[in-house]
Amino acid sequence: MADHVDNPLRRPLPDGIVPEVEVARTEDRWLTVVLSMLGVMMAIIVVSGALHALHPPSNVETIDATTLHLGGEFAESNLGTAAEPDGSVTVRMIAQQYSFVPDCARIPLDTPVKFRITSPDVIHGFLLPGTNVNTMVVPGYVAEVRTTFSRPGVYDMPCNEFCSSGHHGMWARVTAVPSEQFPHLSPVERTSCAKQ
Amino acid sequence: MQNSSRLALYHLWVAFALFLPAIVLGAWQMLMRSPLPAPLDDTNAYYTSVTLHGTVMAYAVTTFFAMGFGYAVTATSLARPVRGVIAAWIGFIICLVGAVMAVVIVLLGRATVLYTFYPPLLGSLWYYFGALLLIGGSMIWVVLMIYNMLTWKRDNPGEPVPLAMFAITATAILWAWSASGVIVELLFILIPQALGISTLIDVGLGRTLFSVTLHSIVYFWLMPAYIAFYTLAPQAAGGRLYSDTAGRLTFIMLLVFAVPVGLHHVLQDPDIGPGFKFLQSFLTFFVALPTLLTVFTICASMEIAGRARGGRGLLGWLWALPWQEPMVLAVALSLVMLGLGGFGGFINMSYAMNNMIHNTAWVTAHFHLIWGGATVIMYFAIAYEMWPRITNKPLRSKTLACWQLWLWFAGMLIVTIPWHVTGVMAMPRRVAAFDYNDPFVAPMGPLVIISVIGGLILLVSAILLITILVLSQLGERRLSEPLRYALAVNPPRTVPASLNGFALWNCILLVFMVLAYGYPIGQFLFLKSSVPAFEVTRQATSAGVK
Amino acid sequence: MSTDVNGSSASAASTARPQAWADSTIEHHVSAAARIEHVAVPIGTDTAARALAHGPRGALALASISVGLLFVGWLLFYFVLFIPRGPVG
Repeated sequence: MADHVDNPLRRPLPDGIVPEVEVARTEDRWLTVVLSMLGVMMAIIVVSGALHALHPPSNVETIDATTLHLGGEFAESNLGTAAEPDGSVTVRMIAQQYSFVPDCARIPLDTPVKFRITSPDVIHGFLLPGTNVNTMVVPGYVAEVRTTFSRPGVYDMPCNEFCSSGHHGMWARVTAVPSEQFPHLSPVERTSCAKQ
Repeated sequence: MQNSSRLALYHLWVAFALFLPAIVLGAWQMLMRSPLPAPLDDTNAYYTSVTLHGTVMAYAVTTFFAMGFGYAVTATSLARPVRGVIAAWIGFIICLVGAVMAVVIVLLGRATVLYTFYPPLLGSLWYYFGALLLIGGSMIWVVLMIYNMLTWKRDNPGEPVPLAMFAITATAILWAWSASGVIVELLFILIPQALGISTLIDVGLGRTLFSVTLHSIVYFWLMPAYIAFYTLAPQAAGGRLYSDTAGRLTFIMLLVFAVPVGLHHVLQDPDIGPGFKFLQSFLTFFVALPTLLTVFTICASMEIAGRARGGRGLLGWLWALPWQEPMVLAVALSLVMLGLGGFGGFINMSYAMNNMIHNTAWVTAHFHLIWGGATVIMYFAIAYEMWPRITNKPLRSKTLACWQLWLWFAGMLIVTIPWHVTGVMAMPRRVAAFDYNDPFVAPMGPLVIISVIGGLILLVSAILLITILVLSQLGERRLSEPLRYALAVNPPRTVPASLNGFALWNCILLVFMVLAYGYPIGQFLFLKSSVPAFEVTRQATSAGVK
Repeated sequence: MSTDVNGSSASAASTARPQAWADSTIEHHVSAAARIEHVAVPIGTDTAARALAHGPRGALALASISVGLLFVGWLLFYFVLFIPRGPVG
């Protein structure tokens, strides 16, 4: 396959099979093509992110993980779904080894829902299949995810971050019902699937 | 055997000796989490195995391989023995002690914290100490790569550094930047906690520091494969490297863009605000650039070979390539997996689209395809190139080597494609056991079983790899053929200083790091939210230490 | 391996090497990508020039198709899988 090579030490250096200028031009052309594609992707992300309210959950808020059960926002009586004055609902949960409390949340359809979750022990996470709800629950911080549900039904809610030996058993559920079937809550009432 | 050769060989042997048992663990894990019955059906054992498989594959195999390859490249591309051999051996011992320490303590079940060891999970001190020795010890290799390149430049003023040496030094520098995150986390958060010096852990700070390492480390793994693409593959195919400059630019861009983008691994974290998540997502698009550049340049280089061998037509040259050469076959298979895995990577990094797949099986499938597939298959090809040169014994059988590569390729696709699908179906990751009777999980069962079959194919391929390497080394025939690097279409006589060294790029990277990570790390100085550790040093589930 | 980049005296290589090459020593080493003797059997300048006569159009085609597929795949995922799953923030 190769041409015959005499003493290569005496052979002059190959002098530009293709002028370097042309190689550089071809490479630059390719770079322009791929940079344009990347630019279009970025633009789509920015525009659709603004139009459709799509962001990774990024609320930064600290909380004392060791006193969650004693009182304050994540005391047991305050967990579950609460109705806000503006018509939205807030679901407060605790993620702990190895369950979510409450382990079944009820929320209305076509209503802005805000999940607020924290952990008293290690890192957990949760997602809701078929939605874009997905976040890490980091002890010492309050994770907040906002969405709106449009499909009724029961959504499985697995813990999706390793939290030690019981991780595989840590599953909860979210039930989405049409807003007519969702109970009318006073400001201090909280609901979950257990309550009818 | 020359000292440099022995140095490279011992590193490579440690890498591959650890590789095969880790594959066995991986295959067992696949079986465990599937609907099929598995031996040793114990969920604690599963999590321990995940920790061990991850630690060995992510830290030990990769680091030892890069070090061995680096010493081999240094000696062959600079055409002189590695300088600083004694320091190199000291580094080898430190890394080996660290790796063994970590492996043993995980096997004893006292560090089931996964290879990402997210605090406040806290394993045994010996695990963190072992990791520190392994990662810290490899910094000796980093210094030696830089030292060898600089002394060569001093001895050859004005000459372009050989592309392979330039690239492996870029790899080493990248590794130093990358490892800084995990080393700081180990030294200032985890080890003091494990020693009992501190009582609380700032989880957000720990995760953010680790995120510095978490993405850039995959480029540390990837760059040896790219070095093979640029400097070994065109030669093996009988062609020329289309552009030496593109090679240099690729490694520079990888260095500069791979490190300040780690936050895209923690896009879902509640301890980082949206602004910096978006900034680092934006920068991540730039780290795709060198890969896209590489894909074109390597295709062009292969095209020269194909056409020189008589290929005609727009794509007809593909068939003319010497497919019986393991290196050529590996490059093609690698590029296919790089395309598929890279596609997954684009999904992962697209800001809010990450929500769709974060911590699902998609993520695990993605990095198995892109690292276990595209990168590791090149590690095999590099091994097939290096072993004959180091040991002076030819490869036992190129045919067998090609079979091994095909099996790896097929196995990897069979494992990861269904795995990606289960991820889109929202299957959570790092889960030891699923209730396949549950209606949500049930449809995933058949896909998981297909992955298990792929895992068994990978196991066969891995056994075949080790067999080929051992048989080659024990062979009788003598070979003395030097390693050949690819010649560029326009071999550089001189290159600008910016393409011949890293001073400028280190400065630029420093600026990027301050801009991209300054606030995300600095914010923890005033956020100040710490929690007690949860010790996993014993197998039983005990309540966290309060 | 360490000093035998461009051929050793005990050559059992598959292609014959001229004696001069085997005896060569390196007085002044340059980049392995610059000196032809560091490359085993490089294809000749003419062959390479013929191969690139029309530029690397095959590579452009192959790379464009792959990257194009990647782009289309990303768009499909974005608009068909991701956006319908609803808002998040």
